[in-house]
Amino acid sequence: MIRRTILAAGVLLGILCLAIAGMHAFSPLLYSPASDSRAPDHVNPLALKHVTSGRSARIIPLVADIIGTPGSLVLNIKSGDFASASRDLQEYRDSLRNLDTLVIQLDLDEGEIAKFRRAGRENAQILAELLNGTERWDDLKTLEVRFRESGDTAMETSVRYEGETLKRKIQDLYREYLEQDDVILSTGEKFELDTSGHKKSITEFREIVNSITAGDEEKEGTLAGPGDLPVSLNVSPDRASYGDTVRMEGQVKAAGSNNIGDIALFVDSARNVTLRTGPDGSFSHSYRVERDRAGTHTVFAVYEGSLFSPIESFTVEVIPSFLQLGPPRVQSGKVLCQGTLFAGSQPVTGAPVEIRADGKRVATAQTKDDGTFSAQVRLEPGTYSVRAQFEGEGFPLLPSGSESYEVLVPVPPPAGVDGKGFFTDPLSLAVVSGFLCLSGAGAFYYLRRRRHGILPARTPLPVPEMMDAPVSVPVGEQVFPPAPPAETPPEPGLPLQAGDVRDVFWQELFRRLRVAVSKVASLRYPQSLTPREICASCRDTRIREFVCRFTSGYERVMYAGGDLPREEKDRMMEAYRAVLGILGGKDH
Amino acid sequence: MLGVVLVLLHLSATNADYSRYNPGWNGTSVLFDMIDEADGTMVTDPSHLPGQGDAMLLFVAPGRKPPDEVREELRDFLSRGNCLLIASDREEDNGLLEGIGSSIRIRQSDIISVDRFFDDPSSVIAFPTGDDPLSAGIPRLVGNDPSFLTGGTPVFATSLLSFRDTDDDQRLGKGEVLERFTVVSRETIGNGTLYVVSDPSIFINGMLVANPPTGNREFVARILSLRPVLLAEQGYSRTAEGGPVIRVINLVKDATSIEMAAITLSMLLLGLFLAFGRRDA
Repeated sequence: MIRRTILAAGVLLGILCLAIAGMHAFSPLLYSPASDSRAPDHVNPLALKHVTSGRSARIIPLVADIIGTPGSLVLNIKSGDFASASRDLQEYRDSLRNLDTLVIQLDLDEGEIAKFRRAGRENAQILAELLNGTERWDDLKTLEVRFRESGDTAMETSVRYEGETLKRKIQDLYREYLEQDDVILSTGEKFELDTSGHKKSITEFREIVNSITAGDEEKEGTLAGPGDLPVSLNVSPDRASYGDTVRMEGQVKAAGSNNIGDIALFVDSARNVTLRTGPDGSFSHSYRVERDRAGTHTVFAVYEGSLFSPIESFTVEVIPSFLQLGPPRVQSGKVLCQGTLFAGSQPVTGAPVEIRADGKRVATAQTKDDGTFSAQVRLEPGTYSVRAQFEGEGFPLLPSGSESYEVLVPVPPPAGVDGKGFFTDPLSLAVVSGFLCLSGAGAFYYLRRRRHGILPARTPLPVPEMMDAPVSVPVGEQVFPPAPPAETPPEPGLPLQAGDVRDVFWQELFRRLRVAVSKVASLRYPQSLTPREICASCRDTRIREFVCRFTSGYERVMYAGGDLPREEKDRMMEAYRAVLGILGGKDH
Repeated sequence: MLGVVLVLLHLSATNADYSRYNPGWNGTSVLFDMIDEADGTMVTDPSHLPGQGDAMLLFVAPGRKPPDEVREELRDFLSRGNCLLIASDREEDNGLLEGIGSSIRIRQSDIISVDRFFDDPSSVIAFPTGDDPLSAGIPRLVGNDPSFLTGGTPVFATSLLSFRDTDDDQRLGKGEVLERFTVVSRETIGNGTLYVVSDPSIFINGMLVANPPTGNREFVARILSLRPVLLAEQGYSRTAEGGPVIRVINLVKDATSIEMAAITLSMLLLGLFLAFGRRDA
C-alpha cells in the first residue's frame, strides 16, 4: 500500500515537473541576471556589459589637439607654406571627426563638450576658407601686376574686384574666428590644457588680416566710386537669414550705346548667375539664402566682361531651427520616424537629420522641399529613447533637437504563433512527417521481428515431462522449488536457431535455482541477479560448491556461444539436483 | 532529510539589500566573508568599542538612525585615534556625520560619468586623488549609482567628464555642467580618521565578484588591513538585516555549543527515521 502511494506520488511529481518544464519550453531561461537587474539603490553588475575604461583619456587628447593645432596651421598660412597648412588642416579635421564619433558614442552631444565641438567645426570651416583665400590672394597679387604691365585694364579691374571681395571675406573670417575664442579657451582651461596654440593662431590670423589690408592706402583711389561706374548695383535687404530672398538689381549706364547684353552677378567672387539686361540696361535677380555661411557676402556685377559695378554686400544671420519628431511607430521590428525641420516659418530643405536611439546615431534622413523627413530604422528588441537631431552644419542655422520618445521594440513572436512559422513551412512539415514515418516503420519492424523471433521463448517448454511444476511459477508463491527434471537435457549437435530448446531448458533450470537460493539467502530481488551474483550469495553455505558449479556451466552455455560436452552437462544436472536436494532437507 | 536541509539553507538567506545574509548580487555576504577571514569582530553595541587607537570600524549602509549616545560613542572612538569608515549615499545620514563632528556631507544626486566600468550610466569610476593610505596603489573604484560628497579631503573622485543628471535623462544636457565629484573623502577628528564613502553599493557582492574585476575587492582588502583590529558595526547597519528565522539559524551557526547540540539532535533524528523506516519496510 505504501509502495503504491509512493509510486503514485512519484508519478504525480513527474507529471508536475513535465508540466512546469512544458510551460517554459518556448522560453527555457528560468533566471538570468538581466531579469533581476535593478534594486532601489543599485544595478546588478552581473547583468551589465563591461566597457572600455578610461574613456575620458580618449577625449582629453583630442580636445588638446583641437585647441593646439590651429597655432601651426595659421602660422603656415601666414608664411605661405600652403602644403604644410593643408596637412595641418587635415589633421585638425580628423581630430574633430574623432571627437564627433566619441561625443555621440558617449552621449555628450549637448552641454559644454558639444559647444566646444561646434566651435571647433566652425573654426575648421573658417581656417579652410582662410587657407583657400590667402592662397588666392597671393595669386591675385601676381595676376594684378601682370595685367597692369600688359595694359589689360579690364582684367586688372576684374582681379582687383576679386581681391577686394577676398579681403572683406578674410576680415569677416577673422571676426568669426574671434567669436569662437571664449568657448575654446574656457574648455581648454577647464581641462587644464595648454591653450597657447589657440592664442598664437589668433595673433597670426590678425597679422594676416593686417598684411592684406596694409596695401589699402596704396590702392586708395584705384577702384572707382559707385557714381563713376557704368553699372549700378543695389542689394537689399542688407541683412538676411535662411529662406529670405536678397534682391540684386541695377542698370547699365554706358553712354551712347545699346545697353542690351549679358551681365554676370558674382556672389563671394563666384559667378552666381548670368542675366540678360532689359532695353534700358536694367537687370534684377532674387537670391535665396539657403546654404550660405553666416557672415558678410560680397556681390558685384560685370557687364559684357568688361564693365564693373561697385562691390556691395549683405550679411547672413544665424537663426534658430525647429526640429519636430512625431511619435515613432513600430512596424514589424522597424521604427518609423517622421518629422519636420523649420527655420521660422520657412521649411529647411535638403538638410541632414540624424535619428538617434539611446544617444547613438542609427539613421540619417534628408528633409524634402516641405521640410518633412522620414526614416525607417531597424532596431533590436528592447526599449529605446529615440530622438532626432539637426546639427546645422553648412546652414546658417543653430542646431536643434526634437523631444525624446520611449519606444518599445517587441520581441518577435515565436515561430508558428503568427501563422508564418512551423506549420506553414513546407520544409519543416516534410521533415517532421519524414521522422514520423521512419518512427512508424521502425516500430512496425520491431514488433514484427519480436513476434516472429522471440515468440518461441513464450511457448510452453518443449520438455514439460522434465519439470514437476508449471514453467511460470510466480515468485513469492513458491515456497520450495519443484523437483528437478528427471531427464537429461537434449543432446547437443542440433542446429542452433532462435529460441533454441536447450537454452530454454537451462534458463528454466537457472530460474528455479535462483528462486530456491533467494529464499535461503534472503535476496530481495532475485530476478535481477546474474549467475555470478547467485554464486556469490551462497558464500559460507553447504550449497555453494554446487550452485557455483551450475552457474559456471550455465554461463558457458548461455554466453560463451558454444556447446558443452555431455559429461559437463551431467555434472551441471548433478549440481542442480544436489542443491535442490540439500534445500529440500529438514534444515529448510 | 535532504529536503529539510534545503529548507534550512533557504531560510538562512534573504534578498534584503546590503544584508550580510544575502548571498545574491545585492547582498554583502562576500564582504562579511572577507571580514571573517580578516578576523573581524561584529559590534552590535557601540559602548563595547575598544579603547585603543588601532581599530578600524566599518559602518556600511546605516539603517535606522543611531541615537545621540551612539554618535557620542563613535566620536569618542575616533578621538582615541581609531579609524571609522561610513558608507552611505543618503542625505539623512548627514545627521550621523554631524553628530560625530564631521564637516563632510553627503549630497544625494545621480552622478553620471563618461568614465564608466559597465555599460550603464550608474557605473561611475572614481580615481585616486592625492596621497592616502586607502588609495595608494588602487587604480580605481567603481561606484554603482553613487551620491557625492562635499567637505573633507578627497580620496577618490570622478573624472572631470562627470555631471549631475538633474533632468534624469541619463545624458549630458543643457545646464548640466561637467565637474569632478568626490566619492571618498577623509577628515581628521580628534586623533582619529573618518572616511566617508558616498556609495555603499561598492561593497555589494555583485561589485566584488564581477568579471572582469572592478578593483573594488582590492579597495575592500585595503580597508580591512588598514588597522590591526577590524570591527564591523551590526547594531544600526542594514548589513545586519534579516528575518527572525535567519536570526535563529545564524545564532545556531555562530555559537559552537548550540551548533554541536543541533548537529547531535539532527543525527539522532536521522537515526530514528532510518530505524523506523527499515522496520516498516
